[in-house]
Amino acid sequence: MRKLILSLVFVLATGSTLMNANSNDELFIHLTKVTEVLEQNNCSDCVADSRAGALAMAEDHGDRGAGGELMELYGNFYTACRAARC
Amino acid sequence: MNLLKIQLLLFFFFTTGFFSQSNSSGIIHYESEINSKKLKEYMTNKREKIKSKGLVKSLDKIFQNTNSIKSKLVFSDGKGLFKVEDKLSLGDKDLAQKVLKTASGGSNEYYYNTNLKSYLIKECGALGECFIYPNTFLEWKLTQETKIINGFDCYKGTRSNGKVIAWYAPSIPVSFGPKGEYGLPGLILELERGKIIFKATKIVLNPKEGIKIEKPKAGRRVSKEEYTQIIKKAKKSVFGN
Repeated sequence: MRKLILSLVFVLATGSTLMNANSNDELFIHLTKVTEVLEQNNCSDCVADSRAGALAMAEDHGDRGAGGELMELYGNFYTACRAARC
Repeated sequence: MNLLKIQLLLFFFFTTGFFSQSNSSGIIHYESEINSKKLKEYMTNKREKIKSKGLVKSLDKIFQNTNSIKSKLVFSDGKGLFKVEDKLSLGDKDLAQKVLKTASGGSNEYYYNTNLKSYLIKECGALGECFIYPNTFLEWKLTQETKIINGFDCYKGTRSNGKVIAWYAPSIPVSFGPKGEYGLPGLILELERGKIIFKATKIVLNPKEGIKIEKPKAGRRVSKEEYTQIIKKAKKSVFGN
């Protein structure tokens, strides 16, 4: 469903860009903006994946010291995800 | 007469025991890796439940394709310090190794002082600020299970309902171990905690070079309760309630 919405956004944005563009430069700028929106959306998956990754690797929450480690693991996953996807 | 002999013997044992512990020093090298029990658990049960393919790829690498992390416990005169000694600078994309390092203790310092009953943790990796806070009192359940590790007879101790398993050597009367674990009647030579297993790879007792244990410094000193609140607040912003 999410992919379908994203595809529709892409088609609509590209279509309206092509209709409204006055020059090649303008077209490029508009396309870049559309790509940026899509990329940002891909980056937003980093939050969910990083949360899940940190929880998968963290110790039992009831155990001592796990709190700080969970945050650090989240940071590990998030930094790597941003570097790879954004 | 017999009573006097017993008293003398007791005095001898207590004093020698006390001095042997307070004068002993050592360097214990550990290596940590993913616990094979946890790998099996992940492969047979947890892996298929994860929806994100990207995350599965990352977790596969962490569970199956990481090099062990080296760490060191140094102790002398009732004081000790445990730190991960992996000095490799890991890039942003080297996630698997970074995660293993974090789970092994990361940049944390674990300080033990049995003379002053002071057990501290210095933690810098979670929020970009260093905190120094007291380690919790750890309640161990001792068992009669034994095994030999590096030539030392070891006994099994557990805590947190069996979630943490330690194998300690009573013949090395130092109550420390990796990653802030302490309080057992012997040095911990193997530790299973979370997804990680620590194994002692080299044991150097009473080394020729002098050992100096320094108390963690350069960090915001907070109580355990304050630290818990700070982390709780940060966790809420990322993970919700």
